Amino acid sequence: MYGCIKCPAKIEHIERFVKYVRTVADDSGFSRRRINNAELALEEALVNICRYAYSEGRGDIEVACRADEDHRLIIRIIDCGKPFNILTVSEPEFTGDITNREPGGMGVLLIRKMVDDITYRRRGDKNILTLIMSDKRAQQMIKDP
Amino acid sequence: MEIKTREERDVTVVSVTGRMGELTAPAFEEAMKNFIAQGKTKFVVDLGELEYISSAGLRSILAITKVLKEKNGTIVLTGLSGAVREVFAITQFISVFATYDKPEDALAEL
Repeated sequence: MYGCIKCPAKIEHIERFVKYVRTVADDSGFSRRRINNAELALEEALVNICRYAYSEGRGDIEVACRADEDHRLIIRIIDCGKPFNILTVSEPEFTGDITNREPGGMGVLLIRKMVDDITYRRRGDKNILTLIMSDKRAQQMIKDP
Repeated sequence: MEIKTREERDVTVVSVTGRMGELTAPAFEEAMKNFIAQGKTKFVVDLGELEYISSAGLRSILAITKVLKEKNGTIVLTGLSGAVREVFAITQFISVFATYDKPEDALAEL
């Protein structure tokens, strides 16, 4: 069991969460590429929380990561900030001059593309975002332990 | 993240290694702005040894591209591969930058 970690929602703490998820993914047999994908999805989700969730600028983030019985990586991210469902964010428009493109939306786009499934629930005062991803290498380890 | 530079004629080759994420991307942007402040306007940014890039890294490259555009400068990218190429492809950044396999290929064209 890997439990969870909880830190203040500050950019400087993101690396702690990333290292924790990297360890779980690595121990679960995920390939270097899929671990990189997990780190990216996690960073983008955490940056959103650090920037926008807490209007007073203070609050915590909790991340719990585990591999399930199908060797899928389950990353659960909880904050007590403003309700924010990334599933409702529209994709950025890719038209016109890149130098005029608004940067917003790129992070959410990357989260969506990096993972297999995303769920969002608002429970009480909590945002609960769950990122689910599989990896052929990890699943091969079930067959050939 | 580590940034190394070398001068080839009037072109500055900037090699970025390691990770370009939320914490480290501002350092890249600052370094590039310093080069521009020194009067440099032609850049080959080699990402061949970059392991990781997030939207923060893309935003930094975009910010530098905007600054260079105002100065009629040039920025081309080299060595996009693996996870870094994947991020450029998903966000369609790859279609709007001139990209080359190696810095030498880019230098031959600039």
